[in-house]
Amino acid sequence: MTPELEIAVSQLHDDGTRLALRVNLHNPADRTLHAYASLRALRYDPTTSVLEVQLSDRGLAEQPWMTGTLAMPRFTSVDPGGDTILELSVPRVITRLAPGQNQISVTFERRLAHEARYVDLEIAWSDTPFYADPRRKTAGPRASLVAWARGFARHRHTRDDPPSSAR
Amino acid sequence: MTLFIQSDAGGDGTGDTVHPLNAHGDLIQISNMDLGGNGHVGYGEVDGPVADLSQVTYDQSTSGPCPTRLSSLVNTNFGVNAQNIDIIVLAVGFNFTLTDGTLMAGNGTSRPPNVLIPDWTSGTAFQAGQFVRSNGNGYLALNSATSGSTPPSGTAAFTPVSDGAVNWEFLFSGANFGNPTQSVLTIYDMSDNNGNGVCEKGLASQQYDLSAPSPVTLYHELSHALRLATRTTLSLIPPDPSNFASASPEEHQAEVDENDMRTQLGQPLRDPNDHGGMLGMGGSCAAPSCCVVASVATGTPYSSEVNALRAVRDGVLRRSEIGFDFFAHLHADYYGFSPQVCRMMARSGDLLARIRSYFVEPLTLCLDLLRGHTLDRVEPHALGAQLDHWVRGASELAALTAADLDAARAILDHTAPGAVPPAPPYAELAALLDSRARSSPFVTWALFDPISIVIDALAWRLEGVATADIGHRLAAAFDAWAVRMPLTDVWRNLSRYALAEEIAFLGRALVRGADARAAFRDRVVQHLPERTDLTRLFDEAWSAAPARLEP
Repeated sequence: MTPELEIAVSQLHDDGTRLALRVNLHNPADRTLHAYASLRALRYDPTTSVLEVQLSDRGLAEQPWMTGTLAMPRFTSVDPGGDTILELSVPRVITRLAPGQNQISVTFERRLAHEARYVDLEIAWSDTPFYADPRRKTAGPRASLVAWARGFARHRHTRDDPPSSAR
Repeated sequence: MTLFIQSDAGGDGTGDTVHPLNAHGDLIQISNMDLGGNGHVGYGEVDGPVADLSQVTYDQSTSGPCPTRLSSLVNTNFGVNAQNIDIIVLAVGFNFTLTDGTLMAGNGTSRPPNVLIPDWTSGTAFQAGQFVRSNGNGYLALNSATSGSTPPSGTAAFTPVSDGAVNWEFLFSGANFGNPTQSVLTIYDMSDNNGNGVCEKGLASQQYDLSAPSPVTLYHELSHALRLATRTTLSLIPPDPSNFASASPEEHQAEVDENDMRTQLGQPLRDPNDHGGMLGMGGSCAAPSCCVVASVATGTPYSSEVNALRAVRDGVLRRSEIGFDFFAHLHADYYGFSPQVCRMMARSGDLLARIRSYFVEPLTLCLDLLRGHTLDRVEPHALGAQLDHWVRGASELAALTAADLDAARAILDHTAPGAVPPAPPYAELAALLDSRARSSPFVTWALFDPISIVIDALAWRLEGVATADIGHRLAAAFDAWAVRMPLTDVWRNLSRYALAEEIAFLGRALVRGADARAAFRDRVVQHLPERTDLTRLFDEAWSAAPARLEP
């Protein structure tokens, strides 16, 4: 069994415009591992002060609706026994539509991600590069991406710098 | 009158939540910069029925498929709801997510409202493209027929289910289609994936190397919105079951339409049979957008003026670490006010013409002169001739009078002691610059100051100052300006080698005069007190590009 990809946040810097995450990917295996390099989802729960930074398609809804493009992630590779650095830029404030029905116009929810005390990071990885599975006739592209992953490396980073409450 | 733009309820719409001014800017580009003519008023807007919606108006004065499509969207009552708010456009930034956390970066989506999704019933005539709700899920009819007796069920994407007569495609679960309004909701990322772009498949190249400028993304989504509003949505199932990127009939049609917008922009076309794409990284596939004010003022993002600005930005300045970081700051501050300038221009053709001749043309000229002064090592006396040659070939600059130059100064410099207040037509613009732009050292240094230098030079020319003298004054002004370049934190993070490279670059591209170099070096030394090797670094780095000695 190939040892699993190891990840850690080596730096988290709030520069007032974004949260800059520097993530170290370490490959303890004797073969190259491949991992997501693109942010796929962000969630912040102010009650637990946890910011979820997700570089995988696990749990995300398939998107059979009208979109500009079927946007696939970028991938990176990690040499055997080596390390790769990912530089991620996370917005300080996450905005989404507030729940509702039959409204005249849209209302929003703003989540102050820069107030996070904890950052939960998840990165999908595998020991082969991603190729779409041509046999998979019905599941959808996200299911194909999830099926590709051999594992999901996870890491909780506890901020030692005081989270900023200022906007 | 059925197209509306969403702003942030309770906010001014220019914060970090939604970006209505960018939506206006993109729609103006879709109209092919149609701001009126031949008895038609072109693109415009009025207040909507509620405070956070503005209504787009469009009295088409130009031809082409994109202006015609916009006119249809704006001037047709589609009857989506009783309020006649048929389509709402929501321009969002990099920080926008869907309910499950999915980022909208580099993408867009269009959603039907609940009012267009009745419950499925048996024995009912349904048309292809119609939505229904059944067993708590939303489905799309793939063919026209009278429904059978088996309610559609199941949540497998891309897999038709039959009710005995009508084939249905699962679309969503839950209370609504991620659309809390009664209107067709079009959401799109106006940030081009935070400046990193999204790579789509080129028709000619057959590679994922095509950028997606935000007006193109919006136009693509409005293609979906039109069919949603007219209940004619096509199937969303990719035709090639082994390739999810194969464009479904609905996406194919949106991409065919999208190519109209690409043609209007002079862009390569997208392969309309491929719906795939990859998120860009490090600016790969970033759209060649540049200076939205100049794009609107000159009528196209590919005008010679905008191309010149883009060439300096991407061909010279952003190639260095310091230049790249500087432009990141400038970009952030510039987009805090520039979309609003575009909206003002949309309301006033006179203001548009003034902004072009007072600011865009002088800035373009300034970059040419600056390049001559630094990279091309033009002698100071020849700079005046370079300016004179340019102005003779630029009718708008040549037509500027002393009163025009005073008016331009009044807008730019009216806060200076003793300055003349701007004339009433320009007071709103001046007030906007005061509140949103003047406090930015990046905007002041990169935009206001260079424009002021050229306005001064144009005034000297009108006063009859000899071209050689104008050249010397310009060289002195450029040197004094270069010394004031804002210094950011990126300077602190450079290795000794990288810093030497950056200093050498600045010696070639920015700081030429000997006195200016000494002053600039002193500023950097003050900025980086922890570094003890700076003076030597400057001496070594600048020896390859000797300074111009003052006469």
